[in-house]
Amino acid sequence: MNRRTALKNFALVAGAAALLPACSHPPAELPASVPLRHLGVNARQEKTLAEVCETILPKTDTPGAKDLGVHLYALRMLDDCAGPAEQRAFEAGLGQLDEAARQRHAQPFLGCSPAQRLALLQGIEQGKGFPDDLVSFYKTAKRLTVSGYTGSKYFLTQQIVYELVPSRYNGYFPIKDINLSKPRHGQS
Amino acid sequence: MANLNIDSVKAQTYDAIVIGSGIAGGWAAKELTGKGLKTLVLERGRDVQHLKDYPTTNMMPWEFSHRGAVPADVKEANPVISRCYAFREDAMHFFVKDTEHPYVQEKPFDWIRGYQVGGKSLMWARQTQRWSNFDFEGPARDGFAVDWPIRYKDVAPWYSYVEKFAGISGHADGLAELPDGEFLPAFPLNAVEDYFRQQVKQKFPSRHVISARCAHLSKPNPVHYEQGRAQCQNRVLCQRGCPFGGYFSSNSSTLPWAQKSGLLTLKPNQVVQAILYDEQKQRATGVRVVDTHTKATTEYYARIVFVNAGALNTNLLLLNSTSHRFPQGLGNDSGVLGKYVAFHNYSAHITGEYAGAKDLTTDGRNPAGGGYIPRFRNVFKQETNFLRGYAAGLGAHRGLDHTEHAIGNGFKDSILHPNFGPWTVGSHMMGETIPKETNHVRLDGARKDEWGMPLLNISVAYDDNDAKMKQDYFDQLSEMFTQAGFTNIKTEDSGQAPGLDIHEMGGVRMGRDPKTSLLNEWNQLHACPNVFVTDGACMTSTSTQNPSLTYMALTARAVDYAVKAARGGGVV
Repeated sequence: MNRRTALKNFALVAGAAALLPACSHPPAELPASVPLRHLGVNARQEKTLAEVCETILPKTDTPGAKDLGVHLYALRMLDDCAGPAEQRAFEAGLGQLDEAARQRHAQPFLGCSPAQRLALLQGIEQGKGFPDDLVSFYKTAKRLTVSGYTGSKYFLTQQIVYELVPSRYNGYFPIKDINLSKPRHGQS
Repeated sequence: MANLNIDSVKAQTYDAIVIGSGIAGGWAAKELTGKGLKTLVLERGRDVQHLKDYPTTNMMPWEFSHRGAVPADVKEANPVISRCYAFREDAMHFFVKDTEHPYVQEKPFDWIRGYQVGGKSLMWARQTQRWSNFDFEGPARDGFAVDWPIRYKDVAPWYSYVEKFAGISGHADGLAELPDGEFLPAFPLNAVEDYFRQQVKQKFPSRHVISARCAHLSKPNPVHYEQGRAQCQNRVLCQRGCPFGGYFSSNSSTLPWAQKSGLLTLKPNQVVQAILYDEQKQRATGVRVVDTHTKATTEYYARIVFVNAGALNTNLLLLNSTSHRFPQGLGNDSGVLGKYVAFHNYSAHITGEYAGAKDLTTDGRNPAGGGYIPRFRNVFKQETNFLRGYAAGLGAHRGLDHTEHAIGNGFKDSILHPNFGPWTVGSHMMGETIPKETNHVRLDGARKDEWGMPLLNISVAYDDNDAKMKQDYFDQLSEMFTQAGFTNIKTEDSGQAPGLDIHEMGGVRMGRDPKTSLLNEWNQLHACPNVFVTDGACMTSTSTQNPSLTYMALTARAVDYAVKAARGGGVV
């Protein structure tokens, strides 16, 4: 089976999976929804990562990480720009997340409530009593969640506006006059 | 030439040939065509036309697949170019990959190259300072290299000439060690850079912090509009190529100007293998080139040849241009060709924080990058345990901070509504290095590249003077930062190899004596006077200034001489 056929077949299965009840999660044997050359992350792990990103930057009255597809950005950056050591640590840590969730909440991460997910990740943020790869995975995921969110079109057009053509420079600009969400006073 | 009939020789004959289209070659093309010479410019890389060939210029940050980062497989395959600060996703296509053009490092040397029309003038850092007599007189006063055959007064009018056309922003600061030029308005120092300027002025009266001088049109003159360029719009995305022509490059300025004369023929994808020397006429007659795609070789002929291939490639070409008369390379009677290569030491940095100016930040972006500290060590007399000194860049910046060690709603709120962090202040060293015979380039035996050129072996290293100077930079800048009330001061030695400064110079140095130098006061080969070298290869010493402005001035000056001499029956 060549790659193209494989992808087509997976797409058919994925289509069927979409018809399953909402509470079920993609089975582990499906590949991630984006092509990955180096990173071993399956569909279920992709969903887990999406929920990790969402727990770090949740939807409120503004979009959350999932709304902006931050987890897909994270996968792309890891697959293309990270070295093998970081990729292996990420895979291992992502695998350990479910184990840590089961120990504390008797559920894999995806089975946990948002409050349980938050508690678990906050625990890892404090960094005590977790395996090194899990801590490393978490730090990488958080870094990429923040850079994916703040580098998104949404953030750079609706929140802190990026100006391609500022046409000015003021080295003595009063902070009280700054409105970061207005294009005339964007990032410097 | 034997199998060519007279007509085809004529078709391949020009008044002048310029090898290379970077910052020096672009100027040679403009000046030669401006004086009525039918000029052929040969560029080894592909064509890059202003506006048309800047594929990333208007891309938003989120439109880059990796938000600017370089993929790991590219880095792994190309470790040298991946160390260059400007080799990022938005400008990768303007840099030579290690894998494409191999060279030999007898000692570690990061050779950063841009093979295309415009060369590195597309992606340069655009800093432009004049030399003073303290620089031109350096070797003679301090007893290294050889005496420059020129002084400031020889170059000053040519600095003015190129500055007016290129457009240089800066203040008239009135400093003997950094002469003023023909300036467009300077980009201002920001609140903390300006604060530091005042502190330094009070506490170190002989040291100065000035607005960095740069090749940006802060306020264009008619001559700039005539080039099709417009005011700099503070994008600071220059390395992508500028849609406004806001900064100077061969592509935006000199080459299109030369094109308008109708006298320019620009041929990309042509590697010059050798300059042809006629033993009877005792002069260069032209060049032999290989087409990078077809691999076919062709000869072109001209009365005047300007070699502007980029400092080390100019060395390579001359070394490879052998004949019965010049078995060691064209013009190399002295044996110094390829020797006395030098560079700038950019391996030292310092950072600090400033707790003041809390109510201020910056708005928009500064294409000059901030401040510049002209050399203050050993300027008027020798006063330290090392020779020469360093200039320093200076920049202050106020970043946005969000909460650390948190996640969830509160963390998100801190990202959407960040606070201004403290001002951070940074400086980098630009140290003069001493040209030495041992720092050299040479042909690497019989190994050749795809285009029939021998590989260049680069053998260039730091020395004890560089180490002492770097320690002094750390000591002095730490003291200046401390005296200014900066805190959290950290010094960093990048440990980078020579070359990453992208200021390699020398190997075909100017001098008064043909026994110890290759070029005379007009950048003419002593032993083959219709060949001129005006790129970085000609530099006798390096001083501390970013060198491009000096290459521009020396090129315009040499063309003026060459054409006058040719018309007046002089020696060319």
